[in-house]
Amino acid sequence: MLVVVDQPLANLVALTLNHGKYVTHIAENITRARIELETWRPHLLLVDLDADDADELDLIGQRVVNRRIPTIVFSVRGDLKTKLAAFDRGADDIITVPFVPEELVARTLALMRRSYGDGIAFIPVINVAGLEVDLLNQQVKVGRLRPELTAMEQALLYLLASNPGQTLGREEILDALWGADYVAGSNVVDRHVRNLRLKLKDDWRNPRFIGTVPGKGYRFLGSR
Amino acid sequence: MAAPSGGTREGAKPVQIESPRALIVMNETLGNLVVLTLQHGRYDTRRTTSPDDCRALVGEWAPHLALIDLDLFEPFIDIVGRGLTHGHTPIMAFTRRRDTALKLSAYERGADDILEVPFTLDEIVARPFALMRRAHGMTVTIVPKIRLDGLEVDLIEQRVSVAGRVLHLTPIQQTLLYLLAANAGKALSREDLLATIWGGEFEIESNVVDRHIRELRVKLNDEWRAPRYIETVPGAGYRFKSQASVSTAAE
Repeated sequence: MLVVVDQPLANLVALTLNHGKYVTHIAENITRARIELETWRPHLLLVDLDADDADELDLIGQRVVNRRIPTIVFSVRGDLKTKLAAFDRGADDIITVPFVPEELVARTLALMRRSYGDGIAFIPVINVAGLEVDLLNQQVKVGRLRPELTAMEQALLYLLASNPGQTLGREEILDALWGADYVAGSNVVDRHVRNLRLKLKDDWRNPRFIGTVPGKGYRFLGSR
Repeated sequence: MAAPSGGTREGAKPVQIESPRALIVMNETLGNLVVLTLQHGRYDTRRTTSPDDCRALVGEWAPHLALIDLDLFEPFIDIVGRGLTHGHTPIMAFTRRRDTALKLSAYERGADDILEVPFTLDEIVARPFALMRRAHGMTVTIVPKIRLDGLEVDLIEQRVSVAGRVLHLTPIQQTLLYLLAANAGKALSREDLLATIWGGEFEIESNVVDRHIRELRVKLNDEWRAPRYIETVPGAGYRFKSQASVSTAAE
């Protein structure tokens, strides 16, 4: 189960968790999250923490019917105050945004094993929008091709594919994958999109996967 | 002031029972950065890369926490794990590889947390805080401010004061400053800085180090021709001037 304020991030997390056999519910606010905790009783809680919102901190380590729910918190890079507050409340782990899919997979699996024993299987290969992605070997299967992706290209692919049909701006992508304090004015997003297209054999004039939205950003075509 | 490089044994304060012991198994450059950052939790630190030393320290010094560079010193996980006379010593492992299988197997072999290099400083404060709590029920006192050669650094507010003037640093600038200061007097190459702060996998514009150094100098009001803090060592990289060399230069 998830509580994530910002939708592209929630979708990215939900897609990435397909590397384990999770059922995910997304709650867009705290009231909704509390209802889900009571009625659905998830095994794992992931909360995106906004430093100023004490209510979100209250969600950490909640008990539902005498069982403490393991909690992973998302926090931005460099935000020591939020991290200490989260650990102080009993958060089990923290994932620093920006993150790459591999990091999320490893930390959730480790926490599930710590909390429940060998419960959750690790699924290295998942289907992402018709592409078979192998997280262990960082490969994608496109027709007969099996290009290798760098960790950042893979993260970019997951981010775009988890938000199909939705235009993501360059700034939004930069914040999600490189972090807000990355040197501004850089064309790093465009370069990564170009490389990813090359590897997927995606023609920018007639794309199958990643479309350009002029003046806005990029959009993943097709469905999840 | 605690000396950042290698000075943790000598000149240490009287024994403080409250101060947690952290064993660091890393090479010098990275180890110094971690040692300096752990001052924010008043840790007593020892660094070693020798298996015999490590065994002795685990047995006699009984660290509360071990921080191990998994890429270079992987077997040390077992050395720390086997010194079980004092109960479980939580291990924080560091890796530069984005390899899920490696991480999962490290967790299984006894690592309690795995952190990727590059990291920002808040991770080196927050994660040990969580481990000390989980493993020993100990709440580490956090010291937000430390002094680095005339600079007062506040890690919680992410700001540095120089003679009462407050400047705000980004997490990357803060890490860069600590890395240089932790290795004061020693020139660090661009490659060293890139590998420790940005990591190998990021696609980087080649002058990213120089640009961040320039921004840091502007914030510190540090002139490159007559630097007070960060000097350029032609052909070698950048070097943080230690207090001693600053006062010598002033004579």
